[in-house]
Amino acid sequence: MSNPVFPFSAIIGQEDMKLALQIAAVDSTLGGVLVFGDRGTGKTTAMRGLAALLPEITVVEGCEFSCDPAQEKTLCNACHAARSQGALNVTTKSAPVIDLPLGATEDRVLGALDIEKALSQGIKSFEPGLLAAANRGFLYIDEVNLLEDNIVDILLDVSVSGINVVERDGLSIRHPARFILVGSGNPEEGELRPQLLDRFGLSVDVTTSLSIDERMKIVRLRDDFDRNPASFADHYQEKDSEIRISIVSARTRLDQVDVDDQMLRRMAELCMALGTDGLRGELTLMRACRALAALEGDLCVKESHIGRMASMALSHRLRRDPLDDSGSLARVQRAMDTVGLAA
Amino acid sequence: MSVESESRRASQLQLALGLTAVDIFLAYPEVVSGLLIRGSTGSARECLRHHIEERFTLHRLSTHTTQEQLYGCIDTQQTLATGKIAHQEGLLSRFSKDVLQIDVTRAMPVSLSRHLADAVDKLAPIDRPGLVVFDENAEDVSGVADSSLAERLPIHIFVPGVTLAELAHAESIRDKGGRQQRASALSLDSMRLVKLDDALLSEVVKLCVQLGIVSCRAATHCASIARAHAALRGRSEVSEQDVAIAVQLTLAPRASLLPDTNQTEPAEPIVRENPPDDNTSAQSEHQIKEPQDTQPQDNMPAPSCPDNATDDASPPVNPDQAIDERLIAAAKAVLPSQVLNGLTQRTTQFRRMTNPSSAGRSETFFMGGNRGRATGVRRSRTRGRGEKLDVLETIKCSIPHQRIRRLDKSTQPDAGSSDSGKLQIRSSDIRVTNYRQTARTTTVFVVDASGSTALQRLSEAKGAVELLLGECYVRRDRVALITFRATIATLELPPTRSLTRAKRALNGLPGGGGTPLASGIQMATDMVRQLRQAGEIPVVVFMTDASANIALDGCASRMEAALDAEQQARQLALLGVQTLFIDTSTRPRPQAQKLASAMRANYLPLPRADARLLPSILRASA
Repeated sequence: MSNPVFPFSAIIGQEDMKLALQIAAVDSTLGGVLVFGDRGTGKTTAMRGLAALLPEITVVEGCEFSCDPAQEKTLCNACHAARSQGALNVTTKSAPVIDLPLGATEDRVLGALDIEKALSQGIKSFEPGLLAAANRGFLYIDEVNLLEDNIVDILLDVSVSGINVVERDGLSIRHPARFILVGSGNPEEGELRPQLLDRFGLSVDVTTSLSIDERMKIVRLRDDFDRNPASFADHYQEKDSEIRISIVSARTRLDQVDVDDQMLRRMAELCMALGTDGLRGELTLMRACRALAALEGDLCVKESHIGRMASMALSHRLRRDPLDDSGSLARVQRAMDTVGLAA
Repeated sequence: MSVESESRRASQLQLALGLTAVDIFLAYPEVVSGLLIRGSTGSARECLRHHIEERFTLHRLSTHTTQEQLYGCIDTQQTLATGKIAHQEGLLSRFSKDVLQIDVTRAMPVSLSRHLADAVDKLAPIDRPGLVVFDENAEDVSGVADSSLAERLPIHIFVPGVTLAELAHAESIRDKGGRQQRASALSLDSMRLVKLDDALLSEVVKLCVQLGIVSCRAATHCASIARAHAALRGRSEVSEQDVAIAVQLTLAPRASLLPDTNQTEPAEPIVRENPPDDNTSAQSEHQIKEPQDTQPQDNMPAPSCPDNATDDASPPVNPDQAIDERLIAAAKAVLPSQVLNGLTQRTTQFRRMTNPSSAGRSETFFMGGNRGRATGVRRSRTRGRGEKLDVLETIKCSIPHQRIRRLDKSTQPDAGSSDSGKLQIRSSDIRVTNYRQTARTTTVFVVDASGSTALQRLSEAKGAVELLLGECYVRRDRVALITFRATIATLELPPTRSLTRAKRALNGLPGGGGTPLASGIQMATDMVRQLRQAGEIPVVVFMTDASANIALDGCASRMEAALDAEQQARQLALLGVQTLFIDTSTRPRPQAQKLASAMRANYLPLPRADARLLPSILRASA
């Protein structure tokens, strides 16, 4: 039995973080969310809460990689073979949320030779790892800035290609591994590698400027939840399902949202002013704005969307100068002022 | 009142509090996921452990425990011996009814703390063991108190050094309360019905802010411990007494700031203003001074006994104080003096900062084991338990022996003829993957911040540290900064890779005063030892003019100071660590050179240090 999950809609404050998580859930190609902040500010709670309210996904029955039967291109080898022989059996399950703990071994992450089968039956088979389990769901890394280098390397490879290639123990396997990466950490304890930093679509600094009243409400709600999780969850069920519905409808609306040239130009101007490397900044900003518009029921991206998404999508992509003290948020703000965008 | 008796009373208070903590843990293991008990080994710690054993079996968990061992894995040897898959049950489920004891002497690997934190988050209380972490360091040098696990363990306590007589006395008081009731779990439902009113809760939350505790978890812990304590005392509503105890158990040890209270000197370890005849004074005082006066404790509310008078190890209730002041006094009362002093020092530094978060100290100490990059195979030391079996190599190793093993069939009567085609693998064939982690370099800067070194040198040193850190963050190295001034050396920046933290530490760096060089060298030597133990490569950089004038014992004597410094330098030389000595005096002098040679350092006179030059000098001399 596992501990009950605190409802997402009962989380007080931290609006930026909640919005970023919802946007990442709307557009899974965005590259996930990085949440930086102190302990005990609701990072883990928000992540688990959101995952619990998301709709179920359709999967191929019995597939270890949760293949999507509708997407022929991303099927794993086994599902491909099964498909060529006939129709696939389909079932639904909740979107996986996989924790990647610090100190996880490469074997656990990538998958490895199934020792159980190798020893008992003499069969060479693949035991899927965390990447396989996270396919089409969330991969959550708490304290991502303390992650070992070799695991970071794996993530860098997989997060770009969406395919996990395993060449080890005499195995040669490739399987789909598309997941929404959610990382959290405290910058006081160590920096994140720039390469990995860049892979995250959005980044949010969880501020702790909570008022006494807010803090009291948080403690009170948490206390109520701990004492009676079931009735607490019932109470918030309706609000949670409202959020679910808005995410689901935003997903369907995503393709219809229009980003016109004028808006793209504004985004490019902003990125130029900030001097971000490469084009990932513009791309992410565009996708984030589109997802935000879809989430709010708009059919085209407006300047206000750019203003709200700019710091989330760009603040972690700035070149850093060890001797420059002004925070990245301030720099984004400055750049927005120069190109005439309002936050 | 003498300093000694003050500290005795503080430790008695801590002991009484520790016993209360254990009582709460034993009564409501579902609410209290675990305890963090800080302080050196000794009778008080053993006493707490002993009490936990009244109800739970304790199993010791090594700090090297892997995820496989926690959650279960395949028992390779058993599997080979029987030919059937044998699983080794994970420690978490195997001991779910018991308590795991984790002894931390040096540092707790981040991965273990993470795995256990996940277990607390995700597994229901009945599916996981209780956790008791014994951290030998009262000060937070091991990083345990700031780990993700400690964040989730509600109760943190410090164990004091006490005499056996005091201990026996505290125990006898406790025994009167009836061991039977304590040693069995109380009803959870009744505890959950205990009321906690908004006024008290708002005090808790305000106190969190005043103590610089950012995490909302701490306040939640505090609320639930207050409720548990009230239930334990048979109350149906949380009283201020309960909150005071809960504050001492949950918030005080997590404090990163000390709030201003007008009546206290910062270094004073305990705040007491009550007259001796005040009948609401702390239990511990009653225990020690007037044992005959103490009424028997009872879990049921006894109408004849106003229970707030005797049953709590809480601070005195002074009617003149407002409730928040009383709670702050309660929080201060339980902190060991060295922690308290550390806090007041930090307070002055951090007050200026906009975000007074609990500065993260959980630096990573990764050690051997199953992580890092794979580098070849080796024979298994633990017969394949919790290690990564390399199947191909294992088979290769067994091949040369196949013929002789088949002939040796007599020893295995059950191996019939049908098995003749199968490989016969023995446990001696098992090969496991070897992992290696590249050792990290940590550069320890020891910077003279005394008056004799012009303040401008200090800013140069700061610049050098920041620039070096800018590079380290690409190379994944770490930097630490020790300064010495006035009478003693201080660790301004514990080993870190974080630019954010380094800047914050460097910004508030004070300068001026005497030159306690020996103390600086001593601290560097200690740090080198610690880093070595953690498997890292230390490099030490001194920046001083070597004109020591404060000796190790703090007295101002040039002669003794120079002697002490030289002696400490020889100690450092014994460690054979790579050292760079930058002479910052405007005219290089022989005494600095002599000191540098005593510590076997590369001597580098640098009458005009240039911050931008330093990193390249370091690289060249490294």
